Amino acid sequence: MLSSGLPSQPGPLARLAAERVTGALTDPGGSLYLVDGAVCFAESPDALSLESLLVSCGRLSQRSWNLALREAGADKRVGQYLVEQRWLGQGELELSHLATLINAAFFVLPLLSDSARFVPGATHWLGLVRAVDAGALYRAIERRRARLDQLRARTPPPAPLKCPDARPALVPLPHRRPGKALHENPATAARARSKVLGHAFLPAHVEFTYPDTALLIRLRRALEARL
Amino acid sequence: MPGIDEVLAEAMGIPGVLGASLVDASSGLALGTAGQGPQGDHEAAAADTTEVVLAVTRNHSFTGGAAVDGSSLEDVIVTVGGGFHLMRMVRTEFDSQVYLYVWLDREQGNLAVARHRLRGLSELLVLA
Repeated sequence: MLSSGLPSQPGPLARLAAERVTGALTDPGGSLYLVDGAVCFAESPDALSLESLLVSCGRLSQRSWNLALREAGADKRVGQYLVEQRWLGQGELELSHLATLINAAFFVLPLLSDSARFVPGATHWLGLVRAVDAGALYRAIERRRARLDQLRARTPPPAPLKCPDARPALVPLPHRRPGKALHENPATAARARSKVLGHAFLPAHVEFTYPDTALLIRLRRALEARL
Repeated sequence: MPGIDEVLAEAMGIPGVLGASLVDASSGLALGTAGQGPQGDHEAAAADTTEVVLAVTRNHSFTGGAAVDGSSLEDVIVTVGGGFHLMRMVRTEFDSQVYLYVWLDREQGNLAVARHRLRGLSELLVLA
């Protein structure tokens, strides 16, 4: 299936990519860093950071990460420093960086508006590890979102009867806004799941585990405990 | 240690290979490419092969019926009249879902050799 049916990339990113600029595009929803019009870094308050991804799984100690930031942050070459110290392989650095980039872009891209602030020439402290084409990234994010929507459409509501102490799944509790229900909005739900589980790829993770009603119930309980 | 481009350059040394890429299965985005993609389009191939990989990972017939996280999947191989398509999952210590994809000429390629080489490259990519 070709991606031609997807909407074309809107907003300020398309223009900046076409002009092949270098700099940072910042919005309250997060930031995108561009180099020659390609996206080389993305961060969102809703997405797992590279630090969290590497430290939470035990691949890197918090101490090593802090040291790398301190030693190489000012020179904007933290990524290269991690490889030079042999704390990460080059492939691992690139893969972990791109994993967090895609995940953050999932949250940042839909929120970018024409009022986003662009700082020409700005670069990120990680340094240039790898960049992806802005248009291809946009289309990939759209595909991921479409798949989440499909998943939502075909996922049966969690079955409270099979789980005696589960709260009614589809009836929002009086004190909660309906929009907070797990299944209401895929982006909100993905963000909430990410936060609860400290997991970078919940949208696809759910795809991998479907149909796992038990998991959905566990997620819902974890969410409700937080709300 | 090699990065994505070095590993893809190595993949281009597999007998009969026409093209190679590294693909993120969470989005279908090609993270790196080498050679040519089917129909001359690496981006479409990345999206299409991701659909195949996800179809396998979400069906319990392939994954043993347990609570599946996709981690037991090794390869997905598609053979067609004109060629072979191999997808090899890359294991990382951190949470990510990527696979190496190679497209091989049917006459020049050897499926067993390609699968063996691709497995080695998937391990090389995450060597610390």
